[in-house]
Amino acid sequence: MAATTTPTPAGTTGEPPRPPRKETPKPLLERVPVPILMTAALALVIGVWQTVVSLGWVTEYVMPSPAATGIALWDVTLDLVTGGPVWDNFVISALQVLYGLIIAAVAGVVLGVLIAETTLGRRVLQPMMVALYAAPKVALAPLFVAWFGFDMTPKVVMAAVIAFFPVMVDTAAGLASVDENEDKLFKSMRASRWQRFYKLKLMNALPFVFAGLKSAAVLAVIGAIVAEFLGGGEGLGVMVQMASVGFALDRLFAFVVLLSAFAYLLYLAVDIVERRVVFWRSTGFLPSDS
Amino acid sequence: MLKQTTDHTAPGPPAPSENRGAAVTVEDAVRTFTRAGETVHALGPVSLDVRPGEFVALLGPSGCGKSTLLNLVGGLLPPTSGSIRVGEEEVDGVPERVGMMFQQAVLLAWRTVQQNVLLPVEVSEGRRGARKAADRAAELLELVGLTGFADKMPNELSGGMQQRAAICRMLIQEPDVLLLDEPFGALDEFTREHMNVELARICSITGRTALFVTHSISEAVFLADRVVVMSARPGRIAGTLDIDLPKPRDPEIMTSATFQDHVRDARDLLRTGYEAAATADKEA
Ligand SMILES: Nc1ncnc2c1ncn2[C@@H]1O[C@H](COP(=O)(O)OP(=O)(O)OP(=O)(O)O)[C@@H](O)[C@H]1O
Ligand SMILES: [Mg+2]
Repeated sequence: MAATTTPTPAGTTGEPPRPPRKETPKPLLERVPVPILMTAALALVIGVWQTVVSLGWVTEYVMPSPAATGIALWDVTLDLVTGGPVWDNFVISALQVLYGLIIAAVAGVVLGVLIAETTLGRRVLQPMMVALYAAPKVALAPLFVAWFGFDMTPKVVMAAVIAFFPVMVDTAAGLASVDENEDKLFKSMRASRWQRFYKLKLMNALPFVFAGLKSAAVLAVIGAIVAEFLGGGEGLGVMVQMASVGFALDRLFAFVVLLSAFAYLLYLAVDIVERRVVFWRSTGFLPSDS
Repeated sequence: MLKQTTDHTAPGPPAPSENRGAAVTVEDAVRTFTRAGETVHALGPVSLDVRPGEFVALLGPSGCGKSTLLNLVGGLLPPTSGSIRVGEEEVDGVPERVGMMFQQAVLLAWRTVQQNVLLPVEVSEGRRGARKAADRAAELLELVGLTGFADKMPNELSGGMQQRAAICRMLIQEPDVLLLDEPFGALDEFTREHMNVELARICSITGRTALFVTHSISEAVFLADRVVVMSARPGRIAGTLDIDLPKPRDPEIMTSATFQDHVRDARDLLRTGYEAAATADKEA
């Protein structure tokens, strides 16, 4: 047992105790906690906003006061939680967003894999997708309505079409970013192409895929609302449209806040799933030694 | 602790003296790289015969093609001309029974240490095969002093521990030929010496053939039966040195006069390699 009895793990030996270091003072913005900064920034914006409206620099027709918006937001939220018309429309919008997001996720990953892994994908699909990416897809909304009618379908399609691009692009980028040494390791183990793909590249690509999904979560909300806006039927986008036609700008603002909150929650949900799936990546928020 | 990794396919463990290594034959191997229309002559022609069970250390200046030579033998790169055989077989693609180790440990971050060690088995025999090999993985981890770390993630290990896990991964399929490219270059001197002792023991017990690239002259002399010194690019063999020190070797041996003589000879060879390259440059 001569040599092997002494293997103190290399990292645990040595490391003389460090002398206490003098704290270098951090800049003010680094020291103040983020929630306080956010509240302060919000207060500032609302303050300026209220001043501008109170001083009559803009009329209430064009810019409702923060107070009016607050009241409208309260009304809308109350309607939402008590199951009123806002709730009904919210459910429709939310379902459209979710369906759109799921389609975008599946299509984005599949197309991203095709682009990164196949010659046909790289040489034919990729240029097509770039062209499609450049196209103003919102302008297609009337077309989708003509094709799919006034129910949920055209909105789901619009949400999916807008949201799938970042998933596709990030998936392809993630697959292409495989570590050279890891690739060499797999080759040295005589791994098949398929094994290299799903045991190495796909795992490497996961953080990228989730980055794409986070963008997609936000874009799906935009896509669905824009389609409702232009295509009519039911949903929060339609309510936004009605509020704008009726010059109820305080209500319009309230809906925007509501939709932002929804998009934010969707983003957080993807983030939570990511932490579970990509567990080996310490994100830095959690203490590593727990 | 002369512990043996048991070969499950053979009846009983091989006797310590038995050579289970394969010969490596390199004949006039040349490798050039062409990038953006420019051709770099990286290696050769090089010819080298490694006997079964022999431990050969490759020394040479940076950029002389040591890694390239190892990649040729490991089948990761085809030679531009010349031929390479491992055992009886011409190398065409990665040969079976070859284990490689690189300067970095290259453990996959999403797998535990044990899953990393079992990766080669999983790749060649599937998950069920890997499950069957779990005992062997545990034995190997014990051999390198990593008992109790099997279920840790790689980022919980120090650099030296990661490199030891990589040794286990290289050995899990009991390769006949080990190709090691500065495997301990990133480690501190003490850990490195410790790992060298381990490696020497593992190789001598099972009589594996080893081709070991290093920048350290004393490391080369300590480990090898033969030190092969290469000259600057395009790498050629500047000379070989037989190391007639008894094995197994203890680090104490480094203070002996014979050891020091070998180190001096190797250093001289390296210097002539440099000078030859310098004159060649002047003439060109
Ligand atoms: N894939 C490649 N493409 C182009 N040139 C390469 C490639 N691989 C190696 N070379 C060139 O071949 C030469 C030899 O490289 P190699 O990595 O084999 O050297 P080495 O002896 O291992 O050096 P070191 O000791 O620094 O690791 C170098 O000049 C390098 O630039
Ligand atoms: Mg090298």
